[in-house]
Amino acid sequence: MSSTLLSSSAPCVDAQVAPVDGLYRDHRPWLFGWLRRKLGCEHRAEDLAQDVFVRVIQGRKQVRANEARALLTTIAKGLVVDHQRHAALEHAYLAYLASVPETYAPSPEAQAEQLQALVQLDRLLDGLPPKARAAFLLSQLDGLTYPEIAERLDVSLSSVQQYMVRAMSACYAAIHA
Amino acid sequence: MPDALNLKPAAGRSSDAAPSEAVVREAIVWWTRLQSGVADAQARESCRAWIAQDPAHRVAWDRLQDIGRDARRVPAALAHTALNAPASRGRRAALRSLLTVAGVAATGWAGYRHAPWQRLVADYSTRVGERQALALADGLRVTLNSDSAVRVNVSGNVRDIALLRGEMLVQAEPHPGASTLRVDTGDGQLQAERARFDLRRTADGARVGVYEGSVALLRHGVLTQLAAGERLFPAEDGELQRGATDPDRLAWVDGMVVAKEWRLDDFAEHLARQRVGVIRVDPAVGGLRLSGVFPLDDAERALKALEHSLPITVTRHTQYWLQVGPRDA
Repeated sequence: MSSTLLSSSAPCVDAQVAPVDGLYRDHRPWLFGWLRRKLGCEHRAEDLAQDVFVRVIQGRKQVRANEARALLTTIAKGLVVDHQRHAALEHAYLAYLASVPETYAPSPEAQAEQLQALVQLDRLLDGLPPKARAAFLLSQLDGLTYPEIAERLDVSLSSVQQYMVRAMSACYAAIHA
Repeated sequence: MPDALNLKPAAGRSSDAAPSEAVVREAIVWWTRLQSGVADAQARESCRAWIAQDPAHRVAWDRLQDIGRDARRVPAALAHTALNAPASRGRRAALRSLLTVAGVAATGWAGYRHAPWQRLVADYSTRVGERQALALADGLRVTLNSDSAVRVNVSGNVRDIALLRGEMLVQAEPHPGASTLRVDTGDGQLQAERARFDLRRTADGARVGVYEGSVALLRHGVLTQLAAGERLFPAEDGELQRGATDPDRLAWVDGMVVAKEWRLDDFAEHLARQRVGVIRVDPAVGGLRLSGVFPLDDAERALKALEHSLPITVTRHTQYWLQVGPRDA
């Protein structure tokens, strides 16, 4: 499933984007090689290389020739981390699905939804202390009351309240900041 | 967990200005109190009053409710194993090692979605984004839409098809010596002598549209006749409802989609069935209407094309995830 974004957007290339063209020609080969070594997979490297250039286009940045490599590598590193994280979440999701009896297995649509929701939640809760994350999950997903959560996590009731404030604040900031 | 307050969302809230940081902080404190599971009626009443005090309060409150609701789409058991491991750094390391062991990078989501169990028993199936025309027997042709699977038995004079997943267009003509075509729809049985009909399985039931000839549907002991130009689809109460077909709905056979005053979220859902991954439409723009003819196989291109005519912006977060949101002013 290789992306055709660059070629399909070609008709509406404007002056600001034009430099990407040269950038793409000059740097794609080594970027692809770099990604292939990192990921060990040609197709993924192909896709991520496209993604890197899409980011450059979206950033609408003028890229100086002597900074191109550094910029592309920075973007690529970020994407590789995102990608590995996404793949790991996919793996966790597969493991979860395998544990669900077949009759209760969600439809393919529901599966895509659930995975997406998981990726989103992971993003929202990123960087939170483990107990704040656990409190949020126990409250929202398991439906436990704060006294139950306090007992489960072996913390005070007011700590649970603080964890919840902290977790929700992080979620809100991740979406609306 | 049920929402602590049964409040109707305010109309057009997405266009409201963003609440201030102070308001959000207050809203979060209220929200955490009401989520405790031990809040009393008085606390709920006070919270209700706070929300009613100012439209900004309401906006902040609705946003928190949305976050909670989105979070609850993740099954608890899944979240605990996937997200609840200790500290972020450690978690990432743990995830990475998991990855190495399983070699997931090489297969991942796409590989998995392409191999659901139905494919093992189905005679014919299509991958996401793939369509296939099949000549199953004399006078019996089937076109499979994306991500569809059928089990076929056309040996001897038997003509049975079971639609296991997805959608198919069937063209059937009576054939000497062959019995009536029978189609298992998942929650009923369709019979046809001469007909051209479209059948789609969804989570809430099967949908059938007849374009030529006629079909009979036997479902829960009730026989329903359907003539050309008619379709049946499950209504919200689960009962079947009769409507008119629209030949443009069959444009998928040619790899196209014809939208006429469609809601943007319906359109995105339609495209999403043709690709691996998800397309997320911000509710703020989901109700925008659009018309046109679009290619089915390149959702990103189709949606990007709409950026010119609708106040939306399409971004790609990963190769699997397209986000459609309001365009920033």
